[in-house]
Amino acid sequence: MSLVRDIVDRVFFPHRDVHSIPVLDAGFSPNEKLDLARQIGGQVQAPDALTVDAHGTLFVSTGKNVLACTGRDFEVRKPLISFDANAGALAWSEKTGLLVCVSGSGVCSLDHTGKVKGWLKAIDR
Amino acid sequence: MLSDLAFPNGVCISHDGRAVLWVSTWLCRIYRYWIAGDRFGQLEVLAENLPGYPDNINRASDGTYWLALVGIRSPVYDLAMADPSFRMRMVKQIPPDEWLCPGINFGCIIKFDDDGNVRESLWDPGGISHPTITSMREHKGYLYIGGLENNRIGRLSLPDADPTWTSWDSYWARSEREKSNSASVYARTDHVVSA
Repeated sequence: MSLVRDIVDRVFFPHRDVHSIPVLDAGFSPNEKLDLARQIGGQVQAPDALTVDAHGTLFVSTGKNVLACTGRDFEVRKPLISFDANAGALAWSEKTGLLVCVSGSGVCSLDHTGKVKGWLKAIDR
Repeated sequence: MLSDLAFPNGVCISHDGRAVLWVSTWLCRIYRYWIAGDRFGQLEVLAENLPGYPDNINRASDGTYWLALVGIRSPVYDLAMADPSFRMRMVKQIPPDEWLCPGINFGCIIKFDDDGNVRESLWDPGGISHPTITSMREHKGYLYIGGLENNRIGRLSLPDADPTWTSWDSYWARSEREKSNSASVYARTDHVVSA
């Protein structure tokens, strides 16, 4: 029966895509492991990217701002810097300090006080 | 380096410093672009047909990688993604809060290895604790979780993870000590100019 249906489908619906969303098994098997994640500190609206520096400060980009979170459970939060556009991905290295991707502007390098060290606005092609 | 990409996102340097991993969010793929070694300059698909839309990638302490899935695919949304004219009519004719969108009432982080195999996944199927995850960062035995549509930072204990491992050490300090082949990667940061 399924063979007949398959043939009919191919005749009448030759352009129909095969549904390709993978089955959620093996490594994708659903579970509830994230329910064990604990909220740290108070609420933060739209925390996008996270990184931690060598001193244990957690930096979080949220909207146009970057927060510096310290203390036990990172509950002490201070605005580090505010940009004119949304802040996205974050990275930290000793050499560059905190690197912040700023929408439409480039990558900004900051020291631990939030002072701008420099901007990367274009890369070599 | 590369152009004409479909929503490139989630850039991460591989553990050996020889390749850049990145995702195409709308194509549900993980790519690898070699920046050193024999395969320098080659681009390859590391994993495809993911069940959701990938966002941030970060290294994991066990030599694998964490990847956030910001939304989950559905047959209807897949169909819409295959038809640009439909999407154009949608954005012109109906308000944004009624647009079709991926399943965002889920939370999912997957862990994959250098062969593109998915080793493990962490789910929040009800989207109660951490839906719409856009990033995660492993640090000293914990995974820190953020989400653009969320209102909290999550922390998940990783009992099997190295409690001393930090991502900044993995990306920068350790590699610098070892003088690995990733000199070209560090050179990028030298482009930062004075304000």
